Amino acid sequence: MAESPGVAARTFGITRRLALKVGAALGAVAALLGSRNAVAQAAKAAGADAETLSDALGGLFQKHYKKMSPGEVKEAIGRIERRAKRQYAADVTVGTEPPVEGVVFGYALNISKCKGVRKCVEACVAENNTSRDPQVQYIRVLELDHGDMNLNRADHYYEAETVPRPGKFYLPIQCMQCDNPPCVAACPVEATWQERDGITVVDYDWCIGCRYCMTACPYSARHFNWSAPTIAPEALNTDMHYLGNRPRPRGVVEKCTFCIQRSRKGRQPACVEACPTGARVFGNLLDPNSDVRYVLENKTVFRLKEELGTEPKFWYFTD
Amino acid sequence: MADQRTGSLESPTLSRRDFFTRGLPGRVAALLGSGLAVTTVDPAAAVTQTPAVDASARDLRKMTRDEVREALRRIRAQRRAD
Repeated sequence: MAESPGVAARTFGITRRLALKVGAALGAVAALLGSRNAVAQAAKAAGADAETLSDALGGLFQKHYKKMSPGEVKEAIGRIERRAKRQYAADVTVGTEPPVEGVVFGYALNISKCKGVRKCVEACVAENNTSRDPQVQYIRVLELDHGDMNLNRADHYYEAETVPRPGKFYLPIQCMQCDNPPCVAACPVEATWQERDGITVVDYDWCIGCRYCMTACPYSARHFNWSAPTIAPEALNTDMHYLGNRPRPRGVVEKCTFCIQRSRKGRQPACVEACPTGARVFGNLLDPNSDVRYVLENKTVFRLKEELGTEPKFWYFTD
Repeated sequence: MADQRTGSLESPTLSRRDFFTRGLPGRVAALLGSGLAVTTVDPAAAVTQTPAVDASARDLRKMTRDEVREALRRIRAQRRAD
């Protein structure tokens, strides 16, 4: 009882605050030194194949893609190319083609032509360097009974050898490239955004892997890398885009980009080229003479979960 | 998504989607329906309680010409505004 309770509390408060400040400062210094040491030790242990310290630190302090200067983008691409060389022994080219003015990409899929052979899935996996083990596939083909539009009753795992099965129809689902994308609104760090050509992209170096975007997407079009993606070196597509099919690390979310590495060079997405029935139509929604505009203006057109207000730029149609 | 939901939504009388999208009368009817389904042993009897209109049919909705034109107009307008 030598001190009054007020004095005791004040003394304890000052001590605690000081302790916290000093502790936080020491912790920050230790973490910084620790991370640098860990990177240096890992590099030393792994020898010449390991990431250099400058690359490791460069990646660690890399800015958001939209905030990078042209020089910083070039450095980031250099790091990706060196990493690909080490990991896959491949010479890759990573492009940064910007959106083309006056272009908004749209997609239409003829559900009366789709036979469910999943060639689109195979082509997508090969083109976009998605993981083979565990499998990551941007396109899911659902098998439904004729006349049934309830996706809850769809079969995702039908046997491809038997298609098309009588009494069934097939509904491929992939990123709808929504014009009002809920995934973008959900991202707490702005790692995903919609480009001017309507493609929603991800900065894979900025994604923190919280998976809020996956929860927000009503089409389940986003996929999380629970482990490091596995791709055989000979299967790697070396024609890459920074916001597209470059190799992704573990712990980030990825998605379809309408094959941004192709579409921004005037080519069709891989799924369009691979479809054996010609069910897929891709083009510029702002061009009145494009194939996709013809479909939208002349065919019976459907939208998936249209009532949610996501404004998908991916339409389904029938002949 | 759908594969994860299939297990819990195969009941023909009540789906989570029905519950949240059919308004108060729909909710009451859906709950009533599910209660009946629990007490009913015969699956055929449960099927007879299936709502006449399946709310999930809206998953793939047919668009009118006007709606398509309006969607394209919004896209054009948004690009001009950017």
